Amino acid sequence: MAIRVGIPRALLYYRFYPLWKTFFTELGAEVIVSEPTTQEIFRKGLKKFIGDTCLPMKLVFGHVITLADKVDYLFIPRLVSIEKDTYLCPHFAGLPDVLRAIMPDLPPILDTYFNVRKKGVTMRSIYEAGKRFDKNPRRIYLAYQKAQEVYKKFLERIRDGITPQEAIQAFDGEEVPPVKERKERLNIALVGNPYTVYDPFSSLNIIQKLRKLEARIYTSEMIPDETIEEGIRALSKRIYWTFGKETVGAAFHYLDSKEIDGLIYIISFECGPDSLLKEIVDDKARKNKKVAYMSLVIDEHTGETGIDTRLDAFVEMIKRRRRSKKMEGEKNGK
Amino acid sequence: MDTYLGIDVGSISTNLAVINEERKVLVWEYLLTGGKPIEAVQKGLKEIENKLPSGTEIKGVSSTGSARHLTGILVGADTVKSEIIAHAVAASHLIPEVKTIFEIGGQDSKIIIVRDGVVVDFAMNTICAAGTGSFLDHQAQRLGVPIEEFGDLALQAKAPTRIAGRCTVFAESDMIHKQQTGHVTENIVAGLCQALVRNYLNNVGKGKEILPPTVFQGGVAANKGMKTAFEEELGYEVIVPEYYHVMGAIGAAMLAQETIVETKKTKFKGFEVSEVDYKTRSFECTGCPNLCEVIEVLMNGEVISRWGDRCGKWEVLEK
Ligand code: SF4
Ligand code: SF4
Repeated sequence: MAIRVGIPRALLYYRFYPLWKTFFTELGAEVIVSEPTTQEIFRKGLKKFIGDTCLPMKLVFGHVITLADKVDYLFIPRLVSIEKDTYLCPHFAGLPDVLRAIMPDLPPILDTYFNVRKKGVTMRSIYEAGKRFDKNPRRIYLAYQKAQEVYKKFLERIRDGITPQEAIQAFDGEEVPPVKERKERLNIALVGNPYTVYDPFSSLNIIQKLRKLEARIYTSEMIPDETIEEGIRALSKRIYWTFGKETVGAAFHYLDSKEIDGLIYIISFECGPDSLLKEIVDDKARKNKKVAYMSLVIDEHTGETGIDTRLDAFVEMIKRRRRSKKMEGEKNGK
Repeated sequence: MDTYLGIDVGSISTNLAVINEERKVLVWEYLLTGGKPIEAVQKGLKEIENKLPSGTEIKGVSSTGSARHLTGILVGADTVKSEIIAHAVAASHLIPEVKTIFEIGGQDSKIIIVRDGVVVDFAMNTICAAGTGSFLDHQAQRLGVPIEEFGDLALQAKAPTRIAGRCTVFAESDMIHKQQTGHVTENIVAGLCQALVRNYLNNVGKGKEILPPTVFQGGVAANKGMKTAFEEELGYEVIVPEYYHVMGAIGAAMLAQETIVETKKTKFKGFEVSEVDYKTRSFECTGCPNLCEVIEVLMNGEVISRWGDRCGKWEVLEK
């Protein structure tokens, strides 16, 4: 029987799932992903968690618990840095240890160390991740190559305008309606940590809600890295958090781009990096009189009604702005 | 006479207003929702019907507030919009140059920034009661001052007491301390108004471009002490409109009028809906681990609407 590897549907699942899944499957393992987040999963995580942390970290606990008796290994990489010159928030690096300390009975954790800050992904990390399934370094390397190819295609699909959520669905073989056929009248950019924005539980289904309001969604994954860098060039200091850089870079890019009518920044209530970056984004957005802006601070206590009211008002505000601009244009034209 | 009806159903109060083609308010109604939005709407409709002169025709209707979707289904609303938009529309009609709207109600508060008649920014308080009317209610109770007298009492203050207003709990212990050290009630009352104003401006109003003319509306605007406290803090006069407590309903009525210009014909089911037997019930869907609580509205025993399902599978009603 194939060795079963569990991937929690949390945190960087929303960024790397196709890469990870392909890698392990190529090595003959069976990949099992936890179910989409529910209230029950959240409660399970909360019960185990000691002390206070952000919602995404509480959620990963719940997902790990639901996977525990279904898999032989859990894949929880020890992530320090996933791209050059930026870091993930410290919660990520300590995660495998925290999980093990709190729940000693978990299946063994594959806690491959990734710190690509200087040298990129090393052969050593790849071998570490794959050696339990195949001892042959060449085959492990080939699996990784294959995974990278698939991952590249996944990223390209997002660049074409579908959300990462949808790209994951497409990777899993589900139908995703092509962007062109959609009835969309407004353009709204959505920025924030991917695991908060794309987990429907955390974000209270914000993407689906905006779609219903006939908005087309733009995300940070849809723009190339260079554009993100370009976006934040004007800042006096580098942002050294990976997702912080993406968030601010994408927000700045979209604000300047004339492509969008509105920008929404989704923030986890207890997130350290976001509370600082919010000031930077707020400041820039406030100076832009053309693009509507709002930030939504979300945690497990956030009520659905409050979010609905704000989304409704946000979309309506954009429509009314457009209309008054059109009327003004007609007046001036005559 | 052709008129338009607006209905604003919030968690605390249900307001209705009828305007004519010139957007003049003809009649209005303010009632407590009391956790029963359907009953409140039906009762309100009955009152409005009685007050309206005979021969008035409702040409359009619109609902707003947190129960806007439910209300919209009940009455057959021509348009359903969030209360932020309704408040802004009403205020910008009454004071066309308005730039800032403070709306403070019993359990929530908002700030709306308007430029050239359109909303450009807004914020709502969500987590904390300290920026809302319930803060004052609570402290008034402690002081033994009826909330209706609160405002007039505050105006008599010679030297308002400084009270820590960060949160309800701190404010309360600070207030008790000030009482014990001999501060007179009117100074404390005025101090509480100032605390609420500071709190509102620092939380809800944080980072917003607050400019005059500023309109202050919502239930708390009845409190003259609050108006004065805002004026002292901002250094200019704030305007409390005549119908400050039913502005949401007035705005909704205007939105109805706006919609009818395009759709021509109203979907209003008539005042008879106040007699119809409506019920809501809920059930837990076990279709997946989300276990959504799905809510159904029944009209004369027949399901006419459902919501609460995350996947949308219950939304469509099979005939
Ligand atoms: S970046 Fe923020 S949300 Fe993400 S793990 Fe760190 S604290 Fe939590
Ligand atoms: S309504 Fe849909 S999402 Fe909710 S429990 Fe049922 S099947 Fe699941």
